[in-house]
Amino acid sequence: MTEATGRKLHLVGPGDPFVTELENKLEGLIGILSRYIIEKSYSEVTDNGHDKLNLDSAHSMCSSIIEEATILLGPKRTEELNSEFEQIIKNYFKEGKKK
Amino acid sequence: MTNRKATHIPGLDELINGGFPDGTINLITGPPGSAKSLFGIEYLYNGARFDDEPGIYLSLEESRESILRAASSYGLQFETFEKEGKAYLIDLGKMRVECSTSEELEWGLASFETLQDFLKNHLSFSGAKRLVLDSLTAVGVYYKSSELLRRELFKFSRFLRDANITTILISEVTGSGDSRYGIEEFIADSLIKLDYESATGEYRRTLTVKKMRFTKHDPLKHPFLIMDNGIEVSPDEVIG
Repeated sequence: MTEATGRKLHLVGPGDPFVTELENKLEGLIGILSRYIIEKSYSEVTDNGHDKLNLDSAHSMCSSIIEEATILLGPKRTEELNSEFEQIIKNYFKEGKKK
Repeated sequence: MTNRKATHIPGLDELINGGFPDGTINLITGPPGSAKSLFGIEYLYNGARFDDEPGIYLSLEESRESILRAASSYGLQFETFEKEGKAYLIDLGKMRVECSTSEELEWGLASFETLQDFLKNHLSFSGAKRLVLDSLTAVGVYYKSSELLRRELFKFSRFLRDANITTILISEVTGSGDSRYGIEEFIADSLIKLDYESATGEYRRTLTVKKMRFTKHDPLKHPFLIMDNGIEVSPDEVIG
């Protein structure tokens, strides 16, 4: 991308393993565009990274990602992704494996 | 014998020996309002409807709502096929506006490299056989030099061929030229020009297949109409 456009991207990876897992899941479907969506959704729910993610904000973040991703994935694949995100939330927050 | 993707646009397939050869890149050019987007919509919709082939419509300018409204006005219910996973109407223009927080990000979202990366992943689950990029003009405008644009467009075209997806690239032209940047026609396997002209007070839309590799085609200028259900070409009628 940098070579093609002659400009640099300055996407900042949030560095949270939960976020990274969401990003990996989405990246497998839409490639680098996932970073734009993740970055935007993460910024929205954490006040630009000032707040830590909790169960509620994780749900909000996933909803935001799903909303953005729908136009790229179509309704069928989005529904599947939504279920996969629910499972990730469960793994990280509800079962106490993380945070 | 070459396998082809029929457009199912009445009157057109008989001008191009049954359709676009599989895995080819096909340029549709014309001035604003010449029905280029409708051509692309019909190509994709008809593929899902008649040939059970999934397709992706990538829009960088017109909004999803606007395209759906246009399709619906010709009786093309895109959303039905979206639910079935046979059609993907992707509004990258909206994403550019909503997700790019800076000019730099907007640049990244508009590049051929990003489109390629996106498509590579998308094809793995959508299994799309048809692609419409509307428009090439919207991508090209972000490149700083024609040399860079040429190089990136060439790489992108190579990717499309390797992916064996039959593509329509829409390019807007003004005046008498065949393409916006003067390079698209060299990477494309075919070029169809849509236009309109006024002769003796009569306003007519025209379609000319100016180039088509691997295909015995009719290179004459034919009139077409936009009917209640979309484009209808008159293969037996020739203009000047």
